[in-house]
Amino acid sequence: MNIKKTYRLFFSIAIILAIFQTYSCKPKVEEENKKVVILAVNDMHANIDNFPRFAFIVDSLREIYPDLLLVSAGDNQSGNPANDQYPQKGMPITELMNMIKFDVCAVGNHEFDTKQDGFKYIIDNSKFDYISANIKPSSNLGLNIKPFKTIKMPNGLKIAFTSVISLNENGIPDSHPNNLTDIKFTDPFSTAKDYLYLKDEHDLLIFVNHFGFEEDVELAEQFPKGKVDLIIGGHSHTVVEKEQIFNDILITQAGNKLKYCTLIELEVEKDYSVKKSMKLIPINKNGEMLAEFQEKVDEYNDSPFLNEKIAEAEDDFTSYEQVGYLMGDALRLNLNTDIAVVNPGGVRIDKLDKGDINVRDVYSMDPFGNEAVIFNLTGNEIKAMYLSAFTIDEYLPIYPSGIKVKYILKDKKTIKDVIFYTESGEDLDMEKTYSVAMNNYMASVYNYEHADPGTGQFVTTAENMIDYLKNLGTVPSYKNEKRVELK
Amino acid sequence: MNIQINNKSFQIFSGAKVIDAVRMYFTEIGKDFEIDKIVVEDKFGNRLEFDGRLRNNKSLFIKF
Repeated sequence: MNIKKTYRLFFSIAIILAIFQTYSCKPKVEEENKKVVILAVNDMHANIDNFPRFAFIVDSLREIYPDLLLVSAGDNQSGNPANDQYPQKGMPITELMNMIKFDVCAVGNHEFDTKQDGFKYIIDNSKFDYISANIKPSSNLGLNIKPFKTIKMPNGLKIAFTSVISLNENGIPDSHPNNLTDIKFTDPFSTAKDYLYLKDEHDLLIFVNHFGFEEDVELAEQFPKGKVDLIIGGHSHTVVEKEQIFNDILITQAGNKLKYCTLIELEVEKDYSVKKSMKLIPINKNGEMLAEFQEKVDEYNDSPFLNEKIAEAEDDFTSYEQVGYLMGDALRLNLNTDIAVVNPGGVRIDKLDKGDINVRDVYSMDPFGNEAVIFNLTGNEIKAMYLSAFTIDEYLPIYPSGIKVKYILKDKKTIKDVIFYTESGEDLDMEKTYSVAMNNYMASVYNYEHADPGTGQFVTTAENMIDYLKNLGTVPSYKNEKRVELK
Repeated sequence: MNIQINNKSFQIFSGAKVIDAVRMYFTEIGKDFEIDKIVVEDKFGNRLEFDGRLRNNKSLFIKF
């Protein structure tokens, strides 16, 4: 056996011993007892950079458990431009999942980020099944999402996997409504109960949910005892380190972004009772990697599409202010709001050359992964926001779109007043309500009175900018744009 | 939506994440924070990653 294989074997044995240490007093496993071992991840969010280390762990465990099942609880997508802006969006993480041979995957809300046709492409090119019991796409979309999947193990165990996805107060998953047209969603709690019959036809019934840990607990407590053996969870990015058993159902979740995976063992005894155990395994940044996966990841990261032109700037951008106005216009015009505002700290470059603008430029402008939020604010509430923001933004002005602003200062750090104008220079009606787009950082740190708590748009401001620039094509000069006056 | 942070009620925008709640909390109490020095847990004592999505009526416990 070579050194790498020996290392992998020792690694695997260490994990197994860690799981079995709690069972040192239990009877020896008899032949009639049948086991299944599952490795679960969730919310990978396209963190392909950690995939080679994850692949090493999977490969090591398969030395000990050749029949190891590999499961994802959804949200494989969204969080990495190398994946999200790939010419066929979402395929890098999908191809890696194919390479490591996932068995089944729940549908997460971010699976819809590639839109209906993008998700269809991903499903059709995945070598594993996507499952969800409460997602009902129209047949014309061709989304092959199964309500459940049966896996018959070589040792004879018959396992049913099913899944439910979380719905928000609008009755849809957390995704832009445009991504969900022609798709119906049923209540996850009642739908889950419709599939409990699967336990009668299988040795084990496992839910792989994209629901949130607390919701999984609530669901588990509603199930009749003995019907469900395990809930593998996702969506809330909860790091479940210790065994959490509710109503005799083991509930797991492994954080997010491939920082962890959960090794789960289910043992069906002669009397059909099921012993359950789990171990959270960290996927360390310094861990051993599988070379073939690293080569693939390097290809994705070096892909030329990140440098491809998405728009053309007619003129140089030579200040944070000009770039900030462009970012504000992208928010306002693409999200169709009356006004948009960008915090000065959210603009990370003060220079963009005339000529080609590419995806990398956008992420250097806006690297934080902030998401867009829309508020309905009166003019007076907008003023209150500006007054609150001044100190937080280190006495720098907010970059607006759709309005002009005059700050009247007592000194560099003290505002006397802020006056607002329409784009054409008329006084802004302060009693009127306006739709205002901003990023989630601004939405959470500015402390001011406002009636509308705001609505997240489930799109990052960077992705919104890319979409805007692709549609715009030619970006006009911002050299003479003057929307803010400090007096 | 409504959430509880350290047993105090907050109203936050729908679609907010744990990090948004953390920012809102520290703004409210008037303190700066370093992200590496805080831990956020759910009511079961499980640690939450900062980019986890919040739900209505969720309770968070920020330890710092």
